[in-house]
Amino acid sequence: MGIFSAFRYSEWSLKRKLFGYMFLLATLLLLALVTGLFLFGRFDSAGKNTYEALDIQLEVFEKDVSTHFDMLAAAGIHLSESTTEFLEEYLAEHGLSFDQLNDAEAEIAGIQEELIENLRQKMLQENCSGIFVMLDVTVNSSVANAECSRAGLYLQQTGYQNSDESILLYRGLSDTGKRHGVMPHRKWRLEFRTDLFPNYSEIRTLGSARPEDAYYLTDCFTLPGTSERAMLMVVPIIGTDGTFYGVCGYEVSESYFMTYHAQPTKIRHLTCLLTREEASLDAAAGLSCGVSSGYYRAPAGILRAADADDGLTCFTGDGISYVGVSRSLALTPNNAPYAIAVMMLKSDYDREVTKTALQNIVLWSLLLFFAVSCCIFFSRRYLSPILKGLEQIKSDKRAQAQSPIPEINDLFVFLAEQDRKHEASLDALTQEKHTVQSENIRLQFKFEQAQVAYQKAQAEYDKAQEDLSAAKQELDRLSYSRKTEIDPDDYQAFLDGVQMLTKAEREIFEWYLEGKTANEILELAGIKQGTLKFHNHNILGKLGVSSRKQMLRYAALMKQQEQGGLL
Amino acid sequence: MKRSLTLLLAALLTLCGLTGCAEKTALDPKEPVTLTLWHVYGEQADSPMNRLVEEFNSTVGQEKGIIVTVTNVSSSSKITAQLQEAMSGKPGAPEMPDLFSGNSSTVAELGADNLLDWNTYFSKDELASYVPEFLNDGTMDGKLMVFPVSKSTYALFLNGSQFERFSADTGVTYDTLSTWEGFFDAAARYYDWSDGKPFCAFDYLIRHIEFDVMASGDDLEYTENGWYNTESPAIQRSWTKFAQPLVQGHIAISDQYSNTQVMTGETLSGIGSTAAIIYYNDTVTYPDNTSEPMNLKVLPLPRTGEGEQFMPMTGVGLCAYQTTEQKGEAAAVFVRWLTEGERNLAFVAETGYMPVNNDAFAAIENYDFPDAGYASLFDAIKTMREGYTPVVRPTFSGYYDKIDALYGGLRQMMPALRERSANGESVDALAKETWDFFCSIQ
Repeated sequence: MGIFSAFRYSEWSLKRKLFGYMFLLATLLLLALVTGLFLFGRFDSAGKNTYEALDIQLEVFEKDVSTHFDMLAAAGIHLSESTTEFLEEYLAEHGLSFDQLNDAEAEIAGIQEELIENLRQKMLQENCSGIFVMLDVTVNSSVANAECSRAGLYLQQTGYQNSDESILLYRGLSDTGKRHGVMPHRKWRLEFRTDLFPNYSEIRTLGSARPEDAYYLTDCFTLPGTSERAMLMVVPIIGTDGTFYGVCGYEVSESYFMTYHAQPTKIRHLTCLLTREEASLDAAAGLSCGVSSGYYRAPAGILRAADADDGLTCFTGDGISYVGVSRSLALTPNNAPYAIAVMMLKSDYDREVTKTALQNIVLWSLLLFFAVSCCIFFSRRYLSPILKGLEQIKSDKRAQAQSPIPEINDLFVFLAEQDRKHEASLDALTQEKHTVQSENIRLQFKFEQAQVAYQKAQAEYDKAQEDLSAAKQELDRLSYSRKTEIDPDDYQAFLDGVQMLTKAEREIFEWYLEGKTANEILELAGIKQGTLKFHNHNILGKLGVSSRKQMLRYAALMKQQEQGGLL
Repeated sequence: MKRSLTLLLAALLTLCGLTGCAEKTALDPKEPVTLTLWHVYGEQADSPMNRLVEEFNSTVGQEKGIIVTVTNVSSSSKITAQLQEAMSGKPGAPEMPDLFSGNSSTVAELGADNLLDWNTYFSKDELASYVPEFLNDGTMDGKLMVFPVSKSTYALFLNGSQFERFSADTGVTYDTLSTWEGFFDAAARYYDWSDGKPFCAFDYLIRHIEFDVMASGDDLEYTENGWYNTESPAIQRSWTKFAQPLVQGHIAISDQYSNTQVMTGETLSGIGSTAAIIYYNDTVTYPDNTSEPMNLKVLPLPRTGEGEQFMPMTGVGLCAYQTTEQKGEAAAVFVRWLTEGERNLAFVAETGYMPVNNDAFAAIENYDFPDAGYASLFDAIKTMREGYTPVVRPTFSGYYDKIDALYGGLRQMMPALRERSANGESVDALAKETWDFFCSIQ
């Protein structure tokens, strides 16, 4: 409440005080607004907003990838089971053991002939860029590196255009492919090479795993003869007697992953990455995608991770930096967890941070400017008629003044009434003043007369005082001189007699003692001379004195004694 | 105060004036524009174009605010149909790319009004550094619709290892293959030598028939329908010349690309685009999984007689879909960068194309090719550039549908015709059947 007291008792002008109150109100409203916005998260930092957007995007991407590879794993297991069933039927039909397929060109061709249509259909059914069945046999075990050469079929489709159903034969007998309208790939080979097949040794060991867990996602590798990188979802083909027949599975190429997983997002330059989980992200070891609106720039090399603000991670590569979020993702029970990350260009993020800061500054400036302007405007608008009214009140013409404010108009009426009353009072006072002035003059005259009389009386008084003083001196002298002449018995009788005096007699006795003359006593007592004489006779009789002179002598002596005098 | 304000305003106006004088650009490195690209370089194989795109993105693109994203790698035979599908906007159709490989027929199919005129972004001085005939090939109604990036022609690719054995056994040499007469003779001998394998697979047989007509001194006539005038005796003569070895199985129509037939040992050689060199493996693998080094040898197209010889001028350039000014400018920056002298030279040297930049064209003569096959290819190209007249391919509407029908029909006919020929039927009669089929296409 101190601030209100400061306002209340400060010597600010009305305008400044009103502005102060309004500004205080505006500030409080703004604070309430800001608090509300803050509580509802409207003032979250760009970093937090980015984190939330990327985190949601990561969840979507994670679900996409997880679902995609789950489906491929399921399809791979089904392909493995159906291939086992087909092989065992084929071998039984032809009276062959699996090992007897080695060097059996015609039998391998026969198997491929019967497999190819099934593979084509399965490839078109699944979200993949290729499908393969690699058998653990070779068409010619006498050629160099035959131990690494394995027969089979590998069909591919271009990863860029999902609508493009032109299928190519990447591995397998070209004649078989052509018969089924599957032209050889530009980098066709007859057989697979197990030494080039990623993670082949790990996959072979999966034969002992439960069938539903026997699938493996290979490392990302470059398809031989091309610049296309890919990951394979591989499932071993195991015979009912446990014989390892080979492997089969699906391919997800870099271009397919980029097309299939392109994210619908408002983040314009988004890059999503699936790679090995390590301290730094190795983009070359994984697959990536961009956004469905067209942006895609494949991250390259190692992306070093470092913590950034608001839960974000800064990924720095060679010549390019990202800001993003990542988490661990388990895709198969036989692979180490993968790292999955969604990232935006750091330059975009930095720009967003700057933009948000600028927006906040502009917003605050605008709000402040708006608040101050409103305070100034409204305080002026509100006060100007009041101040004008006050000016009019101060002026001589307030009787004719008009104000848009009714209260001021009432004040004008009130003041006009007051003015009239004041004028009437003033007239009365003026009249009274004149009267008083006349009376004053008259009284002054009388005063002067009284002063003259007073001076005269004063002179008489002074003379009387002098007379009195002289009388007293005489009395004192007489008292002193007669002291020894006074008979004590008479004097005692005198004193007793004083006690016997009536009130009127005592009063008159006192006046005599004061030196009053008979006339003065007559006037003071308001009695007639005869009455005075009567009293005088009684007084002298009671006092046992013969004359007034003797009486005064004894009286003077009595006074002296009463005053502790010389007696 | 007034003076200070005046000075401030004057400074601001000067700054604005200077900014106005500077080169205006719609590109902003802080707000990079994304260009989607469909191209045909390295489909199904190692794509040099994809590597160049990455290099561009991390250098000039980053500096100027351009990101090129490859969203399709197709082939020149498919890309026009894919573009038409994209442009149709049908459900499931891909988005139309900002930049794409195309040629004059692509422009005709998509409509010139929908495409960018590169003249808007390239000055005459800049265009003067490109090979004029390649620029002319992409110019329609005075507008440069197809910017030349690389140009190709056709050449004869041979499995050198097998030819060596064949040559040793038959005396046929590479010189024998310099004329069609020698070529067909070698093909017949190879057929016998290999127990019935075709000597060569042709990707674009009809073009060689065209050139044979022209090299024989006759006019190549077309109908109003955009097809060959089958009333012309010259074209029937040349057709028969190629049809006779075809029906006998001495030569073949390629299944799709002749290089795959060479790689699988089905044929000894193939005639196709010089750009096919990127797809040739180092080895030939036979059905029994034996293999041998390819030792690729590339020869010029066989000649017809001693007169003027012709070679096709093929190869797509880059077209840009007309969208925004910013994308147009970005496309021009990318194309300018892509076709700079040394970069163009390195690109074509890796892909088997002819350079389009004058400097690159001059420099390729002394280029040190790391692979003998590539050196052989550019020797062949040089021979043809010096002794053959380049001819652009027809751009009639619907022409390539007819061509596809022709090759598809011939492929279907061939096994039976070869068998009948082997059974002793008249080659002339069988060749006439193919002619009749050719005439049936309208």
